[in-house]
Amino acid sequence: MKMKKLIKKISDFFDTLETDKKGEIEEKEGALQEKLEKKIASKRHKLRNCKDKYAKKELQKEIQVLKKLAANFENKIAAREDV
Amino acid sequence: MFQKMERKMYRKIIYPTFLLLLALLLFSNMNSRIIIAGIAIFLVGMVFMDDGFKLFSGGVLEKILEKSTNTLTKSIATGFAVTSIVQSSSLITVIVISFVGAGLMSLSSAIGVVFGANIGTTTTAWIVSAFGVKVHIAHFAMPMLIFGVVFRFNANKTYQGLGNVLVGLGFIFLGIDYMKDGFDSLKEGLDLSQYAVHGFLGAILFVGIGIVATVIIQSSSATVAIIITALATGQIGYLNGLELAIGANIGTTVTALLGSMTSNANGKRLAIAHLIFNIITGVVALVLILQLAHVVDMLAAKIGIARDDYAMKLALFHTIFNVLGVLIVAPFTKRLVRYLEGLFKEEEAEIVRAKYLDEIVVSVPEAALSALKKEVMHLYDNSTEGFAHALSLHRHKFYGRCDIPDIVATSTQKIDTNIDDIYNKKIKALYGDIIHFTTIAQQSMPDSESQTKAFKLKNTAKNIVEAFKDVKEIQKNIEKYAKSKNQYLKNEYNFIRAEIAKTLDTIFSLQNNSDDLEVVSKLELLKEEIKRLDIINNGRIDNLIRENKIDTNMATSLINDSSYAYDITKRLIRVANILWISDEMIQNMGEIA
Repeated sequence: MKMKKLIKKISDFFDTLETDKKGEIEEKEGALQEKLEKKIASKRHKLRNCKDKYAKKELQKEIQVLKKLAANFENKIAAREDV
Repeated sequence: MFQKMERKMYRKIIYPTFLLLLALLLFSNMNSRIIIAGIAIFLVGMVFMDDGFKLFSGGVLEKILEKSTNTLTKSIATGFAVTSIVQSSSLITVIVISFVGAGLMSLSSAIGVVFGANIGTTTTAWIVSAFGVKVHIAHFAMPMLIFGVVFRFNANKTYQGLGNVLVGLGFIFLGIDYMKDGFDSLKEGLDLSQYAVHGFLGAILFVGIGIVATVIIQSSSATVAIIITALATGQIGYLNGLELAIGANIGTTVTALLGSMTSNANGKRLAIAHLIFNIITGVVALVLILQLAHVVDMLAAKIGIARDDYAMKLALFHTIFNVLGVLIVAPFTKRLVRYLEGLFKEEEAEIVRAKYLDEIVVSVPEAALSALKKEVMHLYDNSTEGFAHALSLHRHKFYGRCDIPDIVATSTQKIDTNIDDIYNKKIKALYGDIIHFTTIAQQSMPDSESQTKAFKLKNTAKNIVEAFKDVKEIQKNIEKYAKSKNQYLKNEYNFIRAEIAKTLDTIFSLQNNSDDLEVVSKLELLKEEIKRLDIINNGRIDNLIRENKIDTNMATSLINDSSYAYDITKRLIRVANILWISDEMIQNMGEIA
């Protein structure tokens, strides 16, 4: 009986490790989405204060790319969750 | 040549003689058979423990070693702690050598870890003397073996690792029990203690036996376990036991020395540091053996070890003389590093070979991946000269400049570089080393995640080489048409040169950027930019032909070369994506991934 309990405890311990790993990925994805949003916001802020025409154009392009990356990332997560 | 002869001699003479002697010993005496079986089982246990920790730690061990070794004191403490847990200084030494080879750890930190590992490995003696020879240890071995085997059949790698550790411990315990039984029975028929040799001659003889035994068994822990069981059963004298332990400490360096023969300069430096440390420690311990034995007696009385408990006293002696060794040698670590750096210098070869890859690094997945990444970066660095020169450009002229098209337009002078020569000297052999290393390393990688990472790096190296071959293809036409009288064609070829140069420049500017999002967004922008090279799809070639600006021969050359250039830039962006973005999630974000 004691042995059974011990085996269950060990098994539960490893299960927790696996669940933690899944949670860890979700947490990382969330953090990355937040980071992307912050990056876009900071580029927008730079764009507002930018006076140089060339730099302005570059910043606009960068914002577009970041937006596209964010959308792609969101789609990837959604596609995985659907599965 | 010398190594080849040695290997031949080993294969043809030493090894068969050893097998013959072993067979004779096994068949001549039943007790020696039990002792040797015990040693064999103990060694099998060590192998399982090693494998288990590699699987079980999932890189944790490597991470601890990488992060907590920035000062000498921390290195020594870390070496001590991890070796006490893992019970194998050889495993730790191999990891450390691979880390130094991969550039993850400095030589002085690695030396610190080896010092600590030498103290850490003495815990085996404590376990055997306090536990192994006092209780019927085989009772504990059985459940460990059973649970270990059950776990080994589990699909989960962590379970498998734990299974290996348990099986390993089970075999170690079982081995100790066999050795103890063997020595116990041997005593009834033959008392080895009557052969005890005292004085200076005895000291030299027993230190020598300790060295030879450890060289043969390739494990000082196993030798110490034999010494303690022999001591506990009264088969050897206490002083002779101490001398054997000193010998075992010196003998253990041979494993590292043999391993370092095929290693790079850093591996050799560390193996010699290990040897120097153990020889100094051994000599000091031997000279002060009586004084140290006295200190052991005093300390033993204070911590409650019985006067006649020689097994535990030997464990205490083992720890004391290793700590003493660290205290003597550690203050000279910097000097030792300088001496070793002078002793083994990195060779500057005409044909560039791998800098970070060697046979020791290959066995530690974490270090192998890190070394592989650095080597692929090395390959990229070697190739950039060829890329630039093939475009008739010098890197220092366009790196960090925003007027690259203008620089390209004015740089029409052919650079006298043989691209084939660069390929043969700086790329080909290095690429071969990377492929060979990756193939071997993937075999020892426990999980598919590491294997995928290794595959991606191998593919990255392939992309560099393919891009280099492509640039060779367009070099001739670039040289020809960059000076063409046809302004339209000249502009098109300058455009090709500028796009490749911009790609190289952007990658150069991103190499030290730790903001992965910034890197990925810049690469995505670059990817948009290079689409302009696709002259068929964007219709530029149609316009040039339709308006008779270029003839058909020129058109076919331009189509081919633009296509090559588009491939080159795409490949280089893929390379940068893998090499200079460390977060895998971000790596996979862009479409280029």
